Amino acid sequence: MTFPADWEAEKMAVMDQREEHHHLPAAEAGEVRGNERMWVQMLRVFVHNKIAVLSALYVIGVVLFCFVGPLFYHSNQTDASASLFSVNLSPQKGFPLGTDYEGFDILGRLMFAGQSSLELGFLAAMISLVVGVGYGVLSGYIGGWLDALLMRFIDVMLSIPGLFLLLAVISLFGRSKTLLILTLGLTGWFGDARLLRGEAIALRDREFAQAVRAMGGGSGRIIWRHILPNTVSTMMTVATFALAGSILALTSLGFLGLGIPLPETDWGTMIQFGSNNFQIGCWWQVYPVCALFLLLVISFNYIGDAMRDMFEVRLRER
Amino acid sequence: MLGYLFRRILQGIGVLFGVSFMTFLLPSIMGGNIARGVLGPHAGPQALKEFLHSHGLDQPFLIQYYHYMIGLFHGNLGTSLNPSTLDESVWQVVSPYIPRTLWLVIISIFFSTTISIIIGMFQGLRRNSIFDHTMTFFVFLLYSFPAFLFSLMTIIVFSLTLHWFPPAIDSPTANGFFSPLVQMWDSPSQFVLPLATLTVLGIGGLTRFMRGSILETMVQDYVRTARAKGCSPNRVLFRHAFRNAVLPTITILGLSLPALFGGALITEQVFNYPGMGQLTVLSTNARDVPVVMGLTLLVTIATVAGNLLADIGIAIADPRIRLTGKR
Repeated sequence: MTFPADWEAEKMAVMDQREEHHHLPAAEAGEVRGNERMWVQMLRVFVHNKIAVLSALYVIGVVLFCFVGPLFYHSNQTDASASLFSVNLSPQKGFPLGTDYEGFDILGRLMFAGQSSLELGFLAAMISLVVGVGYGVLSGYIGGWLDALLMRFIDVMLSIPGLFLLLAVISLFGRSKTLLILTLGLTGWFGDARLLRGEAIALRDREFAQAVRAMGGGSGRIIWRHILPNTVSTMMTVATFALAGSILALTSLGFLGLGIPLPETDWGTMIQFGSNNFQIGCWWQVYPVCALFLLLVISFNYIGDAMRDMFEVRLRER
Repeated sequence: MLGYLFRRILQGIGVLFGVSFMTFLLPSIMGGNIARGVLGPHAGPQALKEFLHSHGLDQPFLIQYYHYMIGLFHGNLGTSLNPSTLDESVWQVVSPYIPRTLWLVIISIFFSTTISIIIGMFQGLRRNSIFDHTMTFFVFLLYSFPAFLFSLMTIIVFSLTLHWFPPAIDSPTANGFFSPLVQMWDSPSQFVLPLATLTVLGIGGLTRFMRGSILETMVQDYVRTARAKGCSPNRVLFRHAFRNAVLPTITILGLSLPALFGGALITEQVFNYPGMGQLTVLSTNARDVPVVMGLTLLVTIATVAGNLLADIGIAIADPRIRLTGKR
């Protein structure tokens, strides 16, 4: 499927699954932190999934490549005047993956663009996670008409196709690195909030929450010490998909010519300029970055799937 | 049935009100920013003030909203700020682009539904066969493929390397509602790649869902009863199982509409087809806020209407929903 509702659909699927389980007679919920055996077992399920482990290794590899790579592989990525004489070179000695339309070395460019793609994706995902969790948990915990109102807002925002929403916000605010982070972060949390709201509703009336109330504990304590720790597994799944979603969204924007402005760059922008040059035979400007990015997206999908399996174990444990 | 339909339609209208409020709210609180974007960084305070005044952006909030909503009900979405179409009404700018995107989406939905129902059904019936495993792999691959990479790959392979299909669509000459269909009929080859891209992107999720749905249906009691009373396998499948298995996919189809419009946006951009998506990208680059907001509103209307149609379709086909109004 396409960006970005595939992540949404994925989340919905998780949500449906969850809700079914919550209808089961609730056994012991327990404190998440104390239960180390469960974490070990969940990790075992994850490790058992060979493809997921490979995917995780690939993601770690890409992160190292982008952030540690430049320490060992030096290349000019900012001085356009110095690179004037190396425009569109094919792979050769000195330029293992060739050069792009501005004469920058592609291998170094992959790292340079990857840094900003990963940074932006990570920060945007964190923003959307924090906002989504806060909004969803509060909405579910408080309930009543406020919950109804807040959820109608989510309905409205989810019915706007994601890319159109992104472009609408960019047309208003323009784009710089900071604005892109905020835009991606603040338009990506609607599905997460809905998911977390379901969790909060399921947890707020459980025995341990009632016990806190009976002992005179406030709502703040219930949310902070009891509801949030119990949603850690959901949050981790949500975070994985949020990260993948925001990197994918950023790359799509770059491909549409709306990525990070020069002199910085991102993978999407690289793909866009590369594809313009493909017709004159510069295949090296397209294939490496596409392969790297495609594998990254597939890896994220596998990791997300494996995480879902992992948390099914937790649900079985209950 | 009527009560259910009424509630669903009311819900849809509520969502549209919400969206129209959003497309109004953002530009009105960002008035100064828009003026800067249009007039450029060197415009003086006087020019900014005049711009805000002439576009009604300096009036009190509620009065602006009142005018906006009155305008909407008359089909007035505001005026364009793009220098090349300055002060033309948004509807005038946008309307030629609408049918192109709509037909692209509708036709690809038709293909992807048909194909994924067939593939998913055979996967479900021949569970754990070689066919099932190969298809699961391919479907997962398609599911993970970003729209822009897929369309790029199809161009590289089928157009630039094999020269089977043209890499772009000729710009349309007519603006009528059915003219995109006429163009497709006249020169189908240039629409093969974009339609295939959109179709294939839709297949991923649907096939997965259809496979699960048929697996679930085939173990139901009524299927066992049908088998026990001696129905032929074909009759069991098509009379008893098929309809129950296919119905939920209609909901999924409705839910995947936002993604499809997003995919259409990228496909149009790649194949240089002047639909709503390409116009959105152009207008975003030109910071033509009213046009972008108008397009966003229109696409959302299409999405909400599509969801509504899906729900009505299910209600008609499934008596349980028709009678109880529950899903």
